[in-house]
Amino acid sequence: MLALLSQRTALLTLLALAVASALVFHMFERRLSRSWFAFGVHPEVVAAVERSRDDQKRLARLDPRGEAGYHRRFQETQRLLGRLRVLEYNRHEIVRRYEVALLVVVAAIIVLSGSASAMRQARQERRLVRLQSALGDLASGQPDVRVGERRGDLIGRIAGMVEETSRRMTRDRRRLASLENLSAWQESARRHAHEIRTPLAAARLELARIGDLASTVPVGETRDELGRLQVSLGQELDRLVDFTQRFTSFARLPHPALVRHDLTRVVAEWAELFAAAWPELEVRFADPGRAVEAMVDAEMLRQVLVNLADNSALALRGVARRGTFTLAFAAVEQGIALDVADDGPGVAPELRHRLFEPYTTSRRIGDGMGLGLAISRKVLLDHGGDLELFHTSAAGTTFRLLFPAPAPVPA
Amino acid sequence: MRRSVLSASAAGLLLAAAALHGGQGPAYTIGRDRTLAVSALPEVLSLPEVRPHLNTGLTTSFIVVVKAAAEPGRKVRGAARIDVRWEPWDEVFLTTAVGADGRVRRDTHRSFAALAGWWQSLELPVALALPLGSWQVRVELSVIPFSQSEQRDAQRWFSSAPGDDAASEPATTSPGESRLNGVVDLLIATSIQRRSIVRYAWPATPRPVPARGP
Repeated sequence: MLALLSQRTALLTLLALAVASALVFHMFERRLSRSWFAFGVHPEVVAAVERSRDDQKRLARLDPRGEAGYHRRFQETQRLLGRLRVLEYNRHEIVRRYEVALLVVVAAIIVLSGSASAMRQARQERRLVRLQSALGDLASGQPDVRVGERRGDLIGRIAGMVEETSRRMTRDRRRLASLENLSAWQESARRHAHEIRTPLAAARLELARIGDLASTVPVGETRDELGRLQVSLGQELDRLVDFTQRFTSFARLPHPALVRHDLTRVVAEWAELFAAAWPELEVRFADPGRAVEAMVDAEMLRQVLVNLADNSALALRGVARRGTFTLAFAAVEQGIALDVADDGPGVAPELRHRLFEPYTTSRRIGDGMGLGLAISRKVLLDHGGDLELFHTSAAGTTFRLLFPAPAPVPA
Repeated sequence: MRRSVLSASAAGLLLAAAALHGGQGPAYTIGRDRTLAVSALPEVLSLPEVRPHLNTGLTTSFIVVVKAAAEPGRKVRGAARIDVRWEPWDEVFLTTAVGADGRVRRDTHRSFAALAGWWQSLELPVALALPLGSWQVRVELSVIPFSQSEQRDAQRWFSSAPGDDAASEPATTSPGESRLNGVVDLLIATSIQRRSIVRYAWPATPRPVPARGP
């Protein structure tokens, strides 16, 4: 690269020299060769002017009445001759000065070009050192590497690529860590569900036996009491089954079946279908008026939106007004972004950094397991995208659903 | 031109040497008022390196510089100037001689022979109030082919005449180029300088002061 830069600098220097030399030679040629100077001091020209001068004198003799005019013209021609001779006497000195001036100009241009070239070289080297340092950071795995180059030349473009690579690496690393974390949680949930399901099945069998035994008890107060206990235990066991089922559904989250969909249509349909699903919410969709194509599992995407709306509805339960749940596409550099915003009280600061971890919830015990956002994020990660807490404050919360841009459809 | 000046100078020095051997060098006198005057200047006017310049119509200046030295280490410099100009209309040589006393002597000569005769009869005061002593005098003569006023006139003319480019080539001369041309004109104008085209040097021999008449 340095060699390329040096070549370019050398070419620029040569170009500058050529232009400067051409300019000076043009001046030289224009003022000395092409102009009347060279012509004027030519001996034949001088001789012709002399003859012209002498002719005035002869004319004066032939025409004494016009002598004054002839004499005036004679003097004028004589002055011209004198000037030409003065120039002729100094011609070599003039040329010598031109040569000196030419040398000075060329030397100045060389010095200036050299200085400019050296400064440019030094600047390029500084930029290359910065680039090298950034590449080192990138190689050592540092996140969000910044080079700070904004020019559009080769170094600037390479710097842009380094930053983009770093951004992608950082994002992929974060996604991978999240996926690993969620996988661990899923495995844990699967084991818990398995461990609970076995004694749960046994408990159900035992409860059924208790029911059978109760039927043998004579009708009376004891039999009624046993019946009530059986119903109550059955309800508790159902709750346990439901709890286990949720564990299982989280543990066995299916992989999305990605199909090219018009997200605008999918979201619009969802908004229409679920418009009245949450009394606390008014569902709105800012239709962009154009198709936004993405590879998605529409069913899972709908589930994600339901999870987010559930959370918003729960957050607004304590607010004495009806909230809004707005869906809108946002412009991003790469991929597709769907912003889902509510005007609820926002996410508590202590929850924000672990909002997507399983079992993270602000609700009271029994109101949910805190798996909705974890599942939703897992779904988006499995789509090759992500789910981010884009903004949260006392005025509301916005989640951003990111989808990768679909591959172009072959023509 | 530079080469011709050098060769002419060499010729001048040779001439000076020849003049020394033949007793043809200039003479000097120290008057009673201690004025140093130079006379009998060698006839250089007809030399080939000088003669052509006399008919150009320009003023040929002969600068006479006298260097006098006496023991112990005393030195005196003096100078005088002789201008010769051929007037082509009247076909006469106009001469002006200015000595150290400031007196201007103007003469007109109908022919070159008359001019040469005047030249040899010329006696020019070159230094005033010369201290008493035994002086060794050396005369140097430089020939300059045009006068200061002619130099100024040529400089002015050369500086202004090419500037008419604006009138002759209005479409091809940009303001930037005009400025450059101005610089070039200045360069040319300042290059026009008076320089001697030939220089001679002779030791001068003393000549007794003519006795005053009754």
